Amino acid sequence: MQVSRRVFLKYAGAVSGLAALNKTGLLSLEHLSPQEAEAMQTAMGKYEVKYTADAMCPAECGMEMWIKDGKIAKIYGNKAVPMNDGIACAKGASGQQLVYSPYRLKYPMIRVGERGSGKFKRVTWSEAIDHIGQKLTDIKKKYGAESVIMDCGDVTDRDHYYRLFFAYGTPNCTEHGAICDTPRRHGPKLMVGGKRWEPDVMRPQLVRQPDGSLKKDYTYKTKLIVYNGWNPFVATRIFYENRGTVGAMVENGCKVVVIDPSLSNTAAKADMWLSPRAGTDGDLFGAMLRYILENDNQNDPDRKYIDSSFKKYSVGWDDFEAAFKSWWGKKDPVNGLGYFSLDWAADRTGLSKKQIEDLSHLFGITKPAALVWGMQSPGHHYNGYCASIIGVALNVITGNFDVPGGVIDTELVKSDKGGSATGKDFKKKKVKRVIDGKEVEGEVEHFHMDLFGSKYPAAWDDAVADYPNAFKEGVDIRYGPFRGHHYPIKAYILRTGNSVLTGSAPHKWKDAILAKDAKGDYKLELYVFIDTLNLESALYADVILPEASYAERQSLSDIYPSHQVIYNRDAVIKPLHECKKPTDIMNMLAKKLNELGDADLKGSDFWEKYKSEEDFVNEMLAPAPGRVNVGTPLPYPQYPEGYKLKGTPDSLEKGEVTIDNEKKEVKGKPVTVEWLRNNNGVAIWPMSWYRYRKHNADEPNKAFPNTSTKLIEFRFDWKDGDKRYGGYKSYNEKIEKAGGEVPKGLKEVGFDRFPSTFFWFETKWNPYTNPDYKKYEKDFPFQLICGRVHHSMSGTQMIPWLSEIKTEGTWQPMNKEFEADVPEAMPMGEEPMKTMKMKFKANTYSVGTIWMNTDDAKKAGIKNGDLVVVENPLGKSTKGKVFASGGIRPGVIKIGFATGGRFSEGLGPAYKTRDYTPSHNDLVDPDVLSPIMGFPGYADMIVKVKKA
Amino acid sequence: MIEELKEELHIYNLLRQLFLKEPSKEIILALSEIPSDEGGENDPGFKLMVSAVKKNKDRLDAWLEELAIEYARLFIGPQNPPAVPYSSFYLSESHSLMSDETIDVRRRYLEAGMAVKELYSIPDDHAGIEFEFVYYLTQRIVELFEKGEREASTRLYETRSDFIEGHMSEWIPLFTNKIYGSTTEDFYKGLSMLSSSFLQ
Repeated sequence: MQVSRRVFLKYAGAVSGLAALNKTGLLSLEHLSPQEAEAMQTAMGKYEVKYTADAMCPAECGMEMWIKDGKIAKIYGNKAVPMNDGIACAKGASGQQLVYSPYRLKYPMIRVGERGSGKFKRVTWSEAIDHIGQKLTDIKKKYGAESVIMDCGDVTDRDHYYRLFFAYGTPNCTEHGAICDTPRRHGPKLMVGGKRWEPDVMRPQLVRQPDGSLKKDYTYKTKLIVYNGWNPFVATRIFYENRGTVGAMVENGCKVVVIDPSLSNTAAKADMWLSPRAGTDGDLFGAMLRYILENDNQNDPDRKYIDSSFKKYSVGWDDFEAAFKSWWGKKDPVNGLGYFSLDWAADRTGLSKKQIEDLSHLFGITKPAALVWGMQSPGHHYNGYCASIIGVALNVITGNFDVPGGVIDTELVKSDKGGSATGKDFKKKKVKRVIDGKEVEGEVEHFHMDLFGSKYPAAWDDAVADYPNAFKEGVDIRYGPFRGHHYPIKAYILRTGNSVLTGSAPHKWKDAILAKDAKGDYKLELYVFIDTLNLESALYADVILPEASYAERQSLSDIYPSHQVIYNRDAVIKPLHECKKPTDIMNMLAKKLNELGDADLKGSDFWEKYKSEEDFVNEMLAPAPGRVNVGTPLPYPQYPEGYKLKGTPDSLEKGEVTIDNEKKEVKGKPVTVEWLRNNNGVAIWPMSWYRYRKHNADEPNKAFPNTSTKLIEFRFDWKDGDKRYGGYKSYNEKIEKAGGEVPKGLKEVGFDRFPSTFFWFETKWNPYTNPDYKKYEKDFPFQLICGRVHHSMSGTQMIPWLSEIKTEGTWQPMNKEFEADVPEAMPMGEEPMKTMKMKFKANTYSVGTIWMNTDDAKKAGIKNGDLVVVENPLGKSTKGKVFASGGIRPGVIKIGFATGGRFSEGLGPAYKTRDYTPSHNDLVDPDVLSPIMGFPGYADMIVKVKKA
Repeated sequence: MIEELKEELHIYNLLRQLFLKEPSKEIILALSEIPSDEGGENDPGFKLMVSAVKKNKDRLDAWLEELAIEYARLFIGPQNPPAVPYSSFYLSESHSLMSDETIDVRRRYLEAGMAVKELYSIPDDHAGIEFEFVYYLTQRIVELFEKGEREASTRLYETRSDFIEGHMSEWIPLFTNKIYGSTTEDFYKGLSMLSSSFLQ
């Protein structure tokens, strides 16, 4: 030993002996008994197979993970789950790179610098929970519980947090749906009480046979699929659609039409690619509907478009048709043509008359067919509502709704997992406020900032993009019992979301989070970030809580199948580092609030009730499948038609049930986590079609769909005798009770109430369809659209494996040179993958790009790979490299969603490329929030492009 | 040799504590009592740590806060920590955590009858845990030796040498280089020098 050490050692003893040690003197290791050591020795190196779901992706495919020595060793698709039928895509298979990423959040942290400076210190869980608890207690006392927003970002596992904050007393709990695609879902929700319309291509389906047995059916029936702005080969939440589309094409000769300004992967494989101007989806749908109405001839087999039996199962068609036709005679100020004519649509969409006519005829005559519209078309435009309403009408009148091979409202038929665990009952709690000197009583839910606020009272999926305004100006309640109540937003709890980057324009979010009052304090007093990943939004938080990754926490799949399927997303490994499960975070915070004197949070509702996450999931499962016994073939012919089904598939099959004729309910043995674990993780109930009609008679069953009349509704608000019906009824009643006060959103489009049937208004920032923007056409010659790159979404760009795959024009190998670790498949040997260090030469690793047409680029003197600046009329800009190709409509530019400008180091390789990759969100107009539900117009923008 | 081991116990005890958490006030106060006039004899890393403590002794609480922040920045994040404290990050081809290298460390602990308390949550190969393992082994070797169980003591000494030479010295220098290169805080510069010199 060196002399210097000796000298040092005489002091080291004095220093090191001081730390508090436990009995054995060990801080993080423990001594095992011989038995424990032997058991561990035996277990090491053995595989244990666990069934779970891939929640690092919204598709949430069924997975089986092979666990060895407590770590995920192998990942396969779960063959028992029909969503993916045993398949794992590249993203599903790369889960280990997320779970074991050295860059994930590991410990609770508290901010020590200014917001956004990224300076944090590690604290214990109890310090973090104490900090949050104190703040929430103060805020509730000072401003009321409604001043707190719980934004669950990701839909998955939101329920624990909803429960906690509903009980705390705020109804302002939201999730990703609010900034996903609400205008796209609007038509289905309004007209059938559903949400997502998808083609009937999920295979296998479990179908009741004439002999009473159940069979897995793999046959495809669809003859035509029209995907409008929907790209299942790349960006899918509905994983069966990519293999199902190919299956229907190959096995059933199904034709596929893709409508998209860009040549998406789906378009590249389609029979027909139509490339219209951006934001003209409703125009095209309107023209299709007019063509079908004008050219239908029930006596000509080549013109028999309409299946008039829909009238038996719907209400209000005549009014809808009359309102639609009333536009035909009006002249469009843009082109002087009558609305929805072929000439009109050709002028606006940029497609030829013949293309529109051929498409309309093809859709009218081909049966069964499915017309499907995606999030990147109607979903992201200001007037997407109109398109989705016409889309529903087109499918219904042509006889394609819920027929074999047609289109299915997957929201209406998926299994119920919304047991009382979600805490929605807390919203019914009575509360009082003093408004204008008068004490007023209402319920917690009447504080909802959107549903009773001054702007978007029909925002049933919330208006997250409007939060920055609420942070700065507070909330004005204008409807319901608390009319006249104003409250500030004082706390924002963000969990597994990245709203600072993607919740409309990032500058608006940063500005609102950093805003200070006259005293120099942040207006938003508390901002908590909860996640596994270190995303941009973490940089602005006051407190960071590390949540268990998807493989370390348990819940249920959030999926859109064509019939009731539900699977357990099991925790396959223990939470790594100091991460905690949502159930534990919920209980810890509830207990702390209770200790601080908040009697609304009780042990019997939280920590005494849910001892483990399994308790919570079992309660969520209690109503499953929760759908009615309807359709053909009848799922359970032994039970009464129209009765609600509850219980495991095997108990319902075996007749181990009680039948409650009063409640019209058939109840088998409850579905539990244990049952799922014993059945490959998944429960599957039988498929049926024509679920809106009786199985043995041509008349409505009045149990499906989920509307006020249990019929498909073409009217949205009407009276029949004393009774009032329709999807907009309750919102118009709010307006009436408030003396006719018109909400901000409706005022913008000149409405004074929610329309009672078909309506139309134009989108924003579109010089080709809205005369207000004509003046920008010359200086800003490009329409900007965005599209999701499935495997490189906001939260998965730190996974190097996924950048090895290029995707369309928005995710291309256009990197600068760098070194990286690359896994290679090893067909031989024990490990299926082996990682090697490789130097990536320039242009070999995929990054976000700016996709433009070759001719446009040539005209502007821009070459492939040139760094350019894209600027909008609001003076905002972003920078990136151009990918020029013929596969995009001239005059359109496309950028991937959240594929560039990633400024959190937690994004790993994506962070390194931030200086030359574009952020589409930087160009979004934060004030364009669509009028009915306050949804950001992500794809409503025009830009110019110049060399950087 | 046993006397040397007894003395080394102290240094491993100090190192495990400083890598597992930000420094406690007690440790810093004790360091401040050490005279700085030890000429060129002391370990340069240790000297740097002591002089950092002395430089800040009039503003101890504020400095402790700064050390806690620096600890978080260096080893935790939330931004990419410049010095990831897990061996698998340096030794595995994938630079990920919980790799085969982690399992190898787990096996080494198990062979000595030990396991991480938060098994499967904290990767076994955290620098602080590894230093604690050496600390534990050293303690046992001395105990067994003094009880006259020479053979067992020698066997454990071999385990310890294997662990230090066959595992820790493979990555701790890489790790401490990262610390040295990414901090301006003398206390952590000193700690990085001390830890790597001690394994040589």
